[in-house]
Amino acid sequence: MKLRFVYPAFNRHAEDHPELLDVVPCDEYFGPPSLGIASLAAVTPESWDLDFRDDRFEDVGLEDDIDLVAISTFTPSAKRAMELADAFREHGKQVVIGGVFPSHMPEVAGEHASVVVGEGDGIWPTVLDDAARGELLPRYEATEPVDVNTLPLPRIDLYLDKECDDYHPSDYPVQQSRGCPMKCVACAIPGSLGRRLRPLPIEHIVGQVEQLAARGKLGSLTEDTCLFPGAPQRHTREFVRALLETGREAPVSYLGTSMPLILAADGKLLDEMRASGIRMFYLVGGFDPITRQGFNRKHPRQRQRAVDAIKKSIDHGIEPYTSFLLGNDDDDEGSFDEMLAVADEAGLQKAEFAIRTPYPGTPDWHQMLAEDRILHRDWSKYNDANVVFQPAQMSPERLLQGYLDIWRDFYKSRQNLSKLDARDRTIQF
Amino acid sequence: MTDKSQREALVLASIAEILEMEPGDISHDARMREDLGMDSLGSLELLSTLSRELNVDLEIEQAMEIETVADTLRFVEEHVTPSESA
Repeated sequence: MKLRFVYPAFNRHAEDHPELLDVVPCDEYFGPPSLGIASLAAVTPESWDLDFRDDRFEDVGLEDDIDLVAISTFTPSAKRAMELADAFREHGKQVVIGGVFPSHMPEVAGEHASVVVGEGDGIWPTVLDDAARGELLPRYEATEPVDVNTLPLPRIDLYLDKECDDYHPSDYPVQQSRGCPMKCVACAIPGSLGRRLRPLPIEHIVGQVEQLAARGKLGSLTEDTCLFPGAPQRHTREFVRALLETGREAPVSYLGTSMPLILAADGKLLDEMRASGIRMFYLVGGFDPITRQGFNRKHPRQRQRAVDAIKKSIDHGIEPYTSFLLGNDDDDEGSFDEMLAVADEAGLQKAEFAIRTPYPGTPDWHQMLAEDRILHRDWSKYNDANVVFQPAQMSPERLLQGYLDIWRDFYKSRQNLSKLDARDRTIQF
Repeated sequence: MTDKSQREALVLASIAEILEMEPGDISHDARMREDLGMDSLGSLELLSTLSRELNVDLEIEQAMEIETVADTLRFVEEHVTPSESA
């Protein structure tokens, strides 16, 4: 039996707004797929002959001899994913679709393919058995959380083997945990992966990093859980100490976290991180009281805490690459200038700017629906680079213009970044 | 930190810092989310700060169960080690 995994294309900031390429002196990061396909491939029985196509830069092979097509999608690629599902079905293929978007919008995705809702690993053998008999069900629901102690390493080789002149990411994602008990307004994880945080065994996390290092790649710890108190922070300590014991620079591009957790972090842990070779935090904004309130001139202490968090990271030798979220309900037309002022005051070198996007499955989505503020459901525009909701204190047009202006204004005085080496000048936009 | 009143002052000061309030304005009966506006990441920052300052290991699931300021104070007292609470 032949199985093809497909990762659909989607637009990023610079693809929707190519004018950004003229004002941002950094390289555009063309990163690898998320880990969904690599994780499912790892639990696919050997009896299946599997391959992988990345729709972003190669043909997906509609005409090929395939028994099952498995499409992994999130909201920015959902429209394309459903188009591909239709096309494969028109060519007589069985199609199953999974990932964050189908998990939260199964009725929408279900019009185009069989849907897997939630974590796919556990239910995947059943899906494959049904497909082998030609009897896919319309929907599969993962009712029990996967035991993370049983997970094999993801088949990251499927992604690595795709590298070519136009596509060669320096880092690949490393999974640290699944699920989360938090109720962050802009996060869909609890709804799709459960409300209990299940840290992966430290050996598994190190194993993921090592299999990347063996291919000369860095691991990106994209989840913003590394400084969560309790088990996640213990894991991070263990992970950092394991890196230190190797005596070589950590094969890690960055750790995800947020300003409040930088402020609360033990300075010794930050020092150990730096000593191990970790050089960058990815500071996710827009979820926390600092970045939700700090830029409207009504909360001076939150503004100061934003400055303090960035400076603390710099003081410990770890670059705080910061993702500013634009369009929170506390943001007004003056917030763009406040963000720029905070960045300058704190000495921030690199940042990205994302438009608030109420992704299906997030508390923000439900709030916007309840308040009738969703402007449209063109999922291809749900990608942080377009305004898809009615902002509270400005027009959608003003928010979009503010987004374009802040990219330009932030980087206007940072044009010397173009002289950095490739790793240091590459950002996500 | 061996004194219960010191720990109480630390808890109130930490909540005040996160929420841009004055410690004296925080009622023990106040509900963290509904009355004070403490969101999930604010709760995590509080828990992380208290973990660091009091040298106790706290899990995030526990933070999600805390509803009031009084719960937080009680939670801290239950988790400090005997030598710290003596």
